Amino acid sequence: MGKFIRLILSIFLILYTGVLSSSGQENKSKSHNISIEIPEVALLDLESNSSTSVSLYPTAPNEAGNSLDFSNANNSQIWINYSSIIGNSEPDRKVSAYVEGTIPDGIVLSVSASSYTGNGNGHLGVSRGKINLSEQIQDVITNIGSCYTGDGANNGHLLTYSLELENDDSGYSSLNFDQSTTISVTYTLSDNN
Amino acid sequence: MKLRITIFLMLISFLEIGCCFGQNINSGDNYCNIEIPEVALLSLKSSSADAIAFTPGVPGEAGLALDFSESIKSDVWVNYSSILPGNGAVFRNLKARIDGSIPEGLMLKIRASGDAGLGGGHLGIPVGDVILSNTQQTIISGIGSCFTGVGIQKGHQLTYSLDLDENAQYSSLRENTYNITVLFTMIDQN
Repeated sequence: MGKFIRLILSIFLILYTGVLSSSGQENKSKSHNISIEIPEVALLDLESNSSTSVSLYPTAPNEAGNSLDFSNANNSQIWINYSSIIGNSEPDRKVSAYVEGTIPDGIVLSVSASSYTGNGNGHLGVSRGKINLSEQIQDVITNIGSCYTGDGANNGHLLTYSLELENDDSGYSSLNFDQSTTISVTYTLSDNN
Repeated sequence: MKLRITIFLMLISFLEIGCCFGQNINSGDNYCNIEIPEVALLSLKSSSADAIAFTPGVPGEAGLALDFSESIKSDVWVNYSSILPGNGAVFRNLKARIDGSIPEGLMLKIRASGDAGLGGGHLGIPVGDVILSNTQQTIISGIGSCFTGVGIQKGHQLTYSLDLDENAQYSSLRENTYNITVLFTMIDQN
């Protein structure tokens, strides 16, 4: 009987002590969760202070015996803007270009992106220099990370187009005045893999 | 026999406590202990059933940055009840820290409002904007013996804001969903 009462007393004491030790200590800490979602972004735009239509033509000679003059057949009025947020599974992005339509015989149409300039920030791309455009897609700007160029003309990379004669001897002989044409240049921002 | 006496005495003392709770303290023959218990209770109340989720705005135009201008959340209220202990603590501070990692390139700020004025006692004073990290930092200081009232619109409203870290590079942002926990603790300040 004595043992039983001692047991009851012990339980009572343990419970009582437990209540004391927990009062004032419980609920001193509280927490809640927050989620942060960084969305994927891949946007590209062509901007110009005037127009994104470009006319390129060589100058006809004034003097018989001279050739067409291609020295002024270039244009720098289009800016390429982009915004990019990459993920860990996509190391970087690139801007590539290809033409739809036929470039006249004997002529090379090239594009060169300038280095980045403007009001952007982040890991901006690097120009690949002068690229001879074709129907095959080719890289114009590479190594684009998470960044933005700023919006509008004077932000991003300035595109310079130029027309030149093909280097080989047959270039000039291939010229044909019936081949004036309109071609479309398409730029794509894509993952580099 | 000794044991029975002990139980008897315990019962008597228990009855005395009972009489104390019964407010029967006018009789000159009764003596009554008045114990002011230490209290330190903290609670978070949300005005929204949804979890707090930040999603910065995707730019509508190429060349623009992610938009953090609407990455502000003020759904959570902190309630507390405090009776300072008799061990010399002058006041208490409410501290906050995070478990998990803030995405690189971003900072998560917290700001507590002043107390809503629906409680009583020596309520705490918010310290202003605090950039949350894995280290505990005070967000409300000088909490004495007081209570805020229970529920939203009572106590201190917490405002979170997510922004680009001016000292970090935009280039460090990575597309992903990041889950973090914000932990609040009331701590005695001696």
